[in-house]
Amino acid sequence: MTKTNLTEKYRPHTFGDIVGNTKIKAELKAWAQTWKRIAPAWKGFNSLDKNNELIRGERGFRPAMVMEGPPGVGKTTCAHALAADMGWDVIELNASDARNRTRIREVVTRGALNQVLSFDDDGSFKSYQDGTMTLIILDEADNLYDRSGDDGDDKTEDFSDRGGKDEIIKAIQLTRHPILLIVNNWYKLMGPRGGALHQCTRTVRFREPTKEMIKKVLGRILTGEDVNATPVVIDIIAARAKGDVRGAINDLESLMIGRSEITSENVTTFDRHRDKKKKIFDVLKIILLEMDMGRAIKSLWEADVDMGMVQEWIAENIPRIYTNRDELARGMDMISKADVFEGRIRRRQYYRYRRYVGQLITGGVCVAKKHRHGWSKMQFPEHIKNMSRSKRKRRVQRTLARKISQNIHVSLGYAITVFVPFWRIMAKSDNRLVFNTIYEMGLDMNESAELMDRDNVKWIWKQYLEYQKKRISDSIGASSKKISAAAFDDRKPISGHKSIEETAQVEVLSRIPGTDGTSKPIVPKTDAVEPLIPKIDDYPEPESSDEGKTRKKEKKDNQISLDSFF
Amino acid sequence: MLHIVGKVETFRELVDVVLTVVEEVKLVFNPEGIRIRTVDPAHIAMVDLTLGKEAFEKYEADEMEVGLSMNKFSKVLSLAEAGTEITLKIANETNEVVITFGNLERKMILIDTANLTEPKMPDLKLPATITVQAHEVRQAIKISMDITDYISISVDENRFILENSGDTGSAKLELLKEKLEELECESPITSMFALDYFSKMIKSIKKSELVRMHLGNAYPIKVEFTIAGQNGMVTYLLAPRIES
Repeated sequence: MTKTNLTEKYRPHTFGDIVGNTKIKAELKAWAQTWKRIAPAWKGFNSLDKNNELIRGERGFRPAMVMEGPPGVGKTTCAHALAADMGWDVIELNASDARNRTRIREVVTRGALNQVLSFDDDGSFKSYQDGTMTLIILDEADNLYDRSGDDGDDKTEDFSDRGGKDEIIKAIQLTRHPILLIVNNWYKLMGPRGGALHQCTRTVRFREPTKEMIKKVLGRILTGEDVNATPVVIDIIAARAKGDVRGAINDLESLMIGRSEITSENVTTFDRHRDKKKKIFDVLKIILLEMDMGRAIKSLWEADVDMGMVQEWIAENIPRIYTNRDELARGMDMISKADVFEGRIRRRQYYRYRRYVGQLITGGVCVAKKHRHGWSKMQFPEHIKNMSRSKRKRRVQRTLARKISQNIHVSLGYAITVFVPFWRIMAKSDNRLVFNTIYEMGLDMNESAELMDRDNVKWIWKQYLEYQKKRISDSIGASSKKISAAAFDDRKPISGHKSIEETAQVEVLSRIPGTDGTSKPIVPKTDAVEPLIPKIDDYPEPESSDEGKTRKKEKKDNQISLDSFF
Repeated sequence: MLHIVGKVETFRELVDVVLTVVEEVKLVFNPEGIRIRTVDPAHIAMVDLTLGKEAFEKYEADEMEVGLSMNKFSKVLSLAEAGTEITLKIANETNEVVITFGNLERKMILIDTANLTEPKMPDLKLPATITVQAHEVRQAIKISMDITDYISISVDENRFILENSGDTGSAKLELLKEKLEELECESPITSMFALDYFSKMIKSIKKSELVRMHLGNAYPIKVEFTIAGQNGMVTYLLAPRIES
């Protein structure tokens, strides 16, 4: 904080001063006291069975607590007040700090395992065994910018929070001190790989304080600052805040500058509403449970996620709410109609259709039902979960398709929809085809594994690398030109065009099991190795084209990196 | 106003010590010298450093507090060859430090010192004191790496033991009283510390220096040594690890 503003000045420092949220305060307090009691013998969450006796009777005790709630309701204040009440030291990591793996390890994990330098006034050390603990606070923990964490070879010193989540989980599992995670959006925190985090945490949800509570807080500040304000003013500010105490105080502060009295005229310049985003659940509630079409359509613009996401949420949750068959059918029909428009937008790049999409998924779905529905549990869209799970696989498929599309001169989309599936069927038992595809298109291990099962591919790769090694040792020069050109030539039988010169080769090849189409598919494990490689080498040399030369060069580049697979 | 000229080695020693604990630090200048006192973000290690004006070729300073990024300063220093004279200047009423050496000049905006708190140094009473060559401890740490992430230190009337034992093996340094420069111990003590912190701290000490350690039973360790040819004094405090 640069200057003490009112929020800082009137921030409550003990639990007693905090308005509202009584239940949460009680839960936090109980959690803290449990921690204090068990701390000397606690061995960490991951050795829970050793600690079983300790937390008997403390149902659902977890080493870390997640505080969820909208901005400005007092989560951070509560965390600090808790520490103050318990006499604990505080280690804090904010969104303004870089929070990558290293940083979290340095501050959180380290703090979680060691005692802290904490001293009495006479200079004697307050040890952990005597109950001196630290409250580790991770503010805005849902805003970790956490890229997948496993592609960690980016050397640039960055501000991303890569791997941060994994490190937090580790810290929570090991910690000997209480940890608090403060978030606005619980789902965002849990997100991918959230299961482990879910297991070792417990969540408290802060509710927005009522208008009356905010008025109480504002009144206290006005008295403290010796400023007069009419009740109407307080009422307007409190109503406008919609539960955001910090927002209300900031509004009040801006009105107070240079005034000792605030009248309703000063407030007229204010918008009646602070911009506040509705949570997805509230939006879903309006659309799926209530009958007001107008509100349903409007609710989309207040949602805190974008339209595509709202659509996913609605599509996921319609079947949970619309139990009547006809309603369900109509609802899903609306979603599909919206999807048709999505398609038109994409194809024609005509974004004005978005309004239809928006209205169909909100208003349309809303009026698909005949009467109001009761609340039932809503879930995060399964589709998105699956997509994020299959991200890696899809990426590999895409690169494979790209290589195919470049080599056989079709569009990427065509390669994905037509060629990859057929290629897969053709490759199923055809080692030669896979070998040639790898060679021709410069596939890597993962991409080729998309074409056939991994054991077979490994075997082929072994052959391929041996062949490459042999090629190097045979000294590149003329012979390599022959090989690359010959390999290039190979493609013809695959695509079905046979020239007269080739018939001879095809005969040779047909001796290799699994390549002639008549013999049974082979599972090569042992000595079928021999014929495959030398035969390619023996091919006659067709006229070498320029294309062949550039290809050779590409191959050489690939080949160096390929060795690292084995 | 600030105008300091000193050998690059002097500055490096200072930076190395501070960087073991924090990256940004508040330096307190007065006409007699520099003082730094800071604690790491996890509140486990504290460092207190004083550097007298004798350590520098030229030293003129008013009473002032300066916030500086040690990381950036260290990068600048790494460009200077051994023995280079570095000049640090802060003019009155400005918010930047000017670092010059050779033909190079680097201006650095100072950090707001309001957020860089200065902890209180407690007056710890510790029952055991030993003094040892820094390189002996260094060796012990090097051999202890890759076993566990903590190290235990024990002292009794006759010996000083640094030990690290885990599932995959153990390592140990044992020094009898005769091998030590100093050993005072009222009753046998043992404490455990985080190895990464301890090793960083020891690595910032020159090999040839003597290190004095004050210890207690499951208590913080206090490590004292001199820098810049006896002209500077460093005190580290490191909190013990929670016994498992």
